[in-house]
Amino acid sequence: MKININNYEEWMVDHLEGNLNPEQEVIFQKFLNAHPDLKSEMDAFSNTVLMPDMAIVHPNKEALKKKESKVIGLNTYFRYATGIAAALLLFLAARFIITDYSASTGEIYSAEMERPELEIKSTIVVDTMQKMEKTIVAPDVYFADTKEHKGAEKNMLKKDNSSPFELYQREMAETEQIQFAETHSIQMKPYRARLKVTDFTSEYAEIYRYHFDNMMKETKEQPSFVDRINNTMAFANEVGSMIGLNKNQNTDDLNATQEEKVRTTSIKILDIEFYNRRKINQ
Amino acid sequence: MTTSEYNKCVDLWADGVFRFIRKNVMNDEDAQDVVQNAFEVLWKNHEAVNFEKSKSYLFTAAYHNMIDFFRKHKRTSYVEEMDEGAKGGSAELQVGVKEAIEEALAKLPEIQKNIILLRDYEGYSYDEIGEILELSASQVKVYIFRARQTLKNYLVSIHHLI
Repeated sequence: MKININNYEEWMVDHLEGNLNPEQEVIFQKFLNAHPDLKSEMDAFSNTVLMPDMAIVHPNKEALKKKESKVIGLNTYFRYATGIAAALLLFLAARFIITDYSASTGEIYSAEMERPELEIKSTIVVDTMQKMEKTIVAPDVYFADTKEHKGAEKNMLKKDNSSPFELYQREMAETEQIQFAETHSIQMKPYRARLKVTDFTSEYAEIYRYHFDNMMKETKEQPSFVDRINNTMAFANEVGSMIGLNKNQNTDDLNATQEEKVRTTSIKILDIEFYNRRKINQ
Repeated sequence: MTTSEYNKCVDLWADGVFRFIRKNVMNDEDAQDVVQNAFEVLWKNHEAVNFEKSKSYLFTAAYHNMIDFFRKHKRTSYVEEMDEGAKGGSAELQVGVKEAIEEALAKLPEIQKNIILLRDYEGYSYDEIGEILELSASQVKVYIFRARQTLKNYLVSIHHLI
């Protein structure tokens, strides 16, 4: 389209909008030089470009924001206390994938896990523990199965008449820590956990222990320590049942001799995704 | 989009979207309501919306919300107010270019005004504006031409008055 006295306004706007190519720009400037009377009109067009008033700002941006998820790590590793509050690596929960079973070695599953890790140290006062005792219900399991825990298992099962909760509590009393961290800032570290089993009681125990090791809880408020314990236990139970790690299902799967297929499920709880890939009977 | 990316959206674009809406609804409280609703829509869908797309998503949500707002409030009082203001302004010979252009802007048809705001305030391309306002890019181009022509004519007439 050639520029002329009837269509120069469109050219002016295109010039203003940066829509002209270099050749058109030259043509346009020539036209403008040939018609100096139109220059004031071009200036007026230039003035139609609005400048935002930067003094106008949203008065309360913080109110629009959303809280980023937090996690609480709750350490329940079985430890043999020396009485010294020590720094310990606390593994927080994450996701695990059940990859294979190897019946011949007695290994019922080996799990490739990724756990975020945090190094934390702290102690718990006895008062807190006593208070906790009144509030929470202990899981009905024993924390022992692996070789290094065998001795402890015997102690617990045969010599020590303490209730599971008392054992749990004894362990907890040593060192415990709760720490907040943003989930996405935690480094993930892969490792492999193996579970060998001689009977289902200890298998079940291991699963529970596993979950206790892997508790994660998002909190929005600042709950009391007791609340956190309760929440975490409830959470662990929930995870266990949702990903199908209950006794009956495991029994079936472990005895699988027929053609197998792999089923992968994932669930998302409190911003943490759990994957479970397992072989199942067809 | 993660929660932290969503929060980044707030930092990056809350002012811009507020400015855009504020130009239309003409008072801070209503503008804040519309902007808040828009961010709620973004938050509700933040997992599905890419961070790269979030700005136009937000402006689209804000625009639709503003239309709803006007539908509910019929916006009669505001239109009258603006006409009054515009008349008063044009009678005032000392009026500056900036004020004049603001007045003229307020008189533009709604769609033209919003296109100019998105174009000049936010630097959106014709395609992006089209996406937000549900128009084709060529329609956007035509509206921009008409809007700038109207604004220019207004400025020229003011100039002649002065």
